Order: sequence, then structure tokens, then C-alpha cells
Amino acid sequence: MSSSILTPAKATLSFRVSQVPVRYAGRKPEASGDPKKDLIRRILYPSNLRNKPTPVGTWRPEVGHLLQRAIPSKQAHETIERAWNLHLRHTRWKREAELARKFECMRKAMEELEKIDSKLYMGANKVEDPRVWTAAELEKSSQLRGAEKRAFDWRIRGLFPRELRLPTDTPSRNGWDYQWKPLGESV
Amino acid sequence: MSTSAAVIETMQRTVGSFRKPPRIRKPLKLDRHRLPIPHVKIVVGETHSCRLREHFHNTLQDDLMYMTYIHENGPRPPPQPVRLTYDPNNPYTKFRHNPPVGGSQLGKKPSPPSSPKNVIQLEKISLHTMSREALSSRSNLLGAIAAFRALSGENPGGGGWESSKGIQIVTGKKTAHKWKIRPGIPVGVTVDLKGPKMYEFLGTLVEFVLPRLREFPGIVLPPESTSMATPSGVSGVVSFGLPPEAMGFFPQIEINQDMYPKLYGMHIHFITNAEGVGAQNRARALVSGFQIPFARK
Repeated sequence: MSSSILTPAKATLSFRVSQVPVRYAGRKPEASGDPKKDLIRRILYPSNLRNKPTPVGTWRPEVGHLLQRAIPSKQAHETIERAWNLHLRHTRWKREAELARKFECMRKAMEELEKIDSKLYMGANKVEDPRVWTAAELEKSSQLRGAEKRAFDWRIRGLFPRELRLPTDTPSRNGWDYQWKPLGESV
Repeated sequence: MSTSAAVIETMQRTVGSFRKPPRIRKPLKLDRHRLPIPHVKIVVGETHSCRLREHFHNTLQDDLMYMTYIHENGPRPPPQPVRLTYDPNNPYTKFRHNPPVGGSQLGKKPSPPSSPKNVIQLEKISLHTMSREALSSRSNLLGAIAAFRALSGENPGGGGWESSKGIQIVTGKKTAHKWKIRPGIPVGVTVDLKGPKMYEFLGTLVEFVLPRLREFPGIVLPPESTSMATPSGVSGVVSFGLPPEAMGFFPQIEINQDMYPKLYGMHIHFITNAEGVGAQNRARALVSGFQIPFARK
């Protein structure tokens, strides 16, 4: 808000400034409009007349009080936030250090392998393309049928196996299947 | 012994007893929208640990580092300059702008050398839908906006996160008479999901939606003969689409499906930090670790 030195009388806020232009407060719903659309419009773009609380919570008169009650101490809040961020930062550093250590081991191993056997090194350094069907894979796939064929086709080099499940908060209802065996083998 | 007992006693006293909260002496100042300005910086954080993010850090990240590692002997030679640049020693030309090379050269950019800081990770998930009914009347987009709001839970600057832009409306850029597109006409809806919300959405997609889709073989991989030197091949983005029926399988929408005028199909883009030759394959490796199936052609 810029107030010129030459007009000090206008330095205080005028009544007009605190009123946000209301564009859709009093809009009447279209008579022939789909009631679902009108409801969605009222939810997405609630009236911005600030005289009563809206269902979506865009304005409530007691928000200021609640904020001050919820966070009585500014210093305590900032200390907690900083402590939590520090904890996250330390966890991140530990994780990065562990990753760097593993990377270094792998790099040294590849260096050694290169010196020892160049063919194995080239095989290890090969980039796997998940789109590729090798000739042997195509042949084997044409001979299989049904569930075995599906299980074989799903084994794509360069990707994680399909059997990799996301960890869940609770164990499965059927428990752990100790007798499970993968169907068929990969080429 | 007595000192430790005294310490424990003080700790119990301080933790158990609190002072009365300070009296509110003056109300908060209001901003130009007559909403109170908080006295502290409030950012809505996480209420629980993110299951899929933990899975990535515990399991996927190490494996991906090993899977995507390419060993290089010593430093790389400097890249061959494709286009001549202005002489940096000539004082008349040294600050001139050298336009970057694009076009077919974009696909040949080599990926940066493997490093522990460079391991592939999911940056954001982008959802996008286009509605042909919106071309006749822009109020037909409201259903899509509401649906995306339910799916993503994103608001512009919501929860104190300034980087979240919320649901964005896609407008036409060029004129195309056949499809009735004009510049500036709102035609679609898009939303970017980052962080814990992204992982929540991914979990819902993988556990609720994809298993219930009929005849969903997985994300179809293009044949080996297609070139990977395309903008999508080099950008580390995996995309696929969902039919309109799939939207009804999301629990956020299934619960009040009658509220929406219709269900919308959508494009889902997984955006990673991989770049260069082979970036899309590395992105596919990452996405497959989150239980998303892939199928070869």
C-alpha cells in the first residue's frame, strides 16, 4: 500500500479498501441448471461475503481466537518445528551416507571386476531394456500356455518382479504362505 | 544416586504440570481479505509416516541404485559441440546468447554419470483430463474439477505449502477447427501431486483401482524397435491412461458417486528425476517397484 508523502491525510485505510469486491456472492442459480452442477459450484467457489461461516470453512469468525489458543507460545512452536526439521535432516543424512557407502563398495567392485574379467564386466555393466524380447524368451513363451505363460511373460528383465508387494500396516488374513513356489522358471 | 533421583523428580514435575495458557491480550491483525494473519508460520505437516515412501527408502532405493548403475572409467570426454558457439575470447561476441540445440539432438543427450545423489526417485504425479463438453459450456468442467479435488486433496497454497498450485484448468493454445479448440478456451483439468499426497494417491491407485479394472494387462511397453530418442524417452516420465469406469473405483469418489454428473477418464504421468538416454526405462523400473504391472508387446 503506497501512500505519498504529499497526501498524509490518506495514509489511514479508507473504508473501501477492506471490502473485497464480491463477484459471485449474490449470484442467483440458473433456473434450468443441473442441480448437481450448482451444488458443485457452491462447494468449489463458495460465497465470499464474510458475514457467516461457509460449509467449506472459508471463513469462520473465531479463527483468530482459535489460532492464538492453539499456539499460545510462538517460541515453543518454532522450537518444535525446528526440532522436527532437524530430526528429518539427520535421518536424511544418515540415509544418504549409507547410500554413498554402498555406492562406493559397488564402484570398487566394478573396478576390480574390470581388471579381472572384461567379459563378466561387460555383462555386469550392460543396460537392461525392459521392452526387449530375446529370441530364447519368444521361443519359450510360444510353447507355454495359460497361467505359466502369463507368469513367464510377466518376468521382465530390468523391472522389479510382479510378486513384489507393497508393505502393509497389518499382516494378511491368510498368514504367510510357506508353501508358495514360483510358477515355471525364467530363461 | 541422589542426583539422578532429583533429576527424575524435576522431569516429572515439569512434564506433568503446565502453566495456564497466556491470556489473549489483543486479536490478530486481518489481511486484505479480512482473514486473520497467524502470529507464527503454520505449515500443515504429516500426521503419520508415509507407507510407500518408507517402502521406497527401505527397499526400492538401494535396488534401483544397483539396477541403474553404469560404471564409467574415469571422467567423461567433453561433449562434441554440435553447433558452433560465439568465440568467448572476442570481446564483441563473448556475451552473446548461444541458442541451445534442440530437435533430434534432444534425444541423444547422455544421462548424467551415476552417483548416490542421482538415484532415481518419484518427483510428482500429474493427473490430466480433457472434456469435450467443456467446449460448448465451461460449467461442464465443474464435475471434473470436483472429482480431481476429491482425488488429490490439493488446494492452491494449501496447508501452508506454497509450492502446491491446486487444481489447474487447461486452456487451448492454438486454433484447431476440427476439434473446436480456440486459444484461451478452458478444455481440461490438471493437478500435480507431490510428497505424501502423491504416495497416498499411488497407494490408492495400486490397491483399489488397478486390481478392479477389467482386462488391464498393465502399462504396455512399446516394442524394442521404437526409438527411445524421443522427448518422452529422455525425460524420465511414465504415462498411462485410465478409462472413465476407473474413476468410480477410487474410494474418495465411490463413496458419493451420484454427486458427480459423470465419471472422467484421465492421463496419469509419473515424473521422475531421471534424464538423458534411457531415462524412461529407469522410470519404468522405479514405477514397477510400486506394484504397477507392465506388459511387453
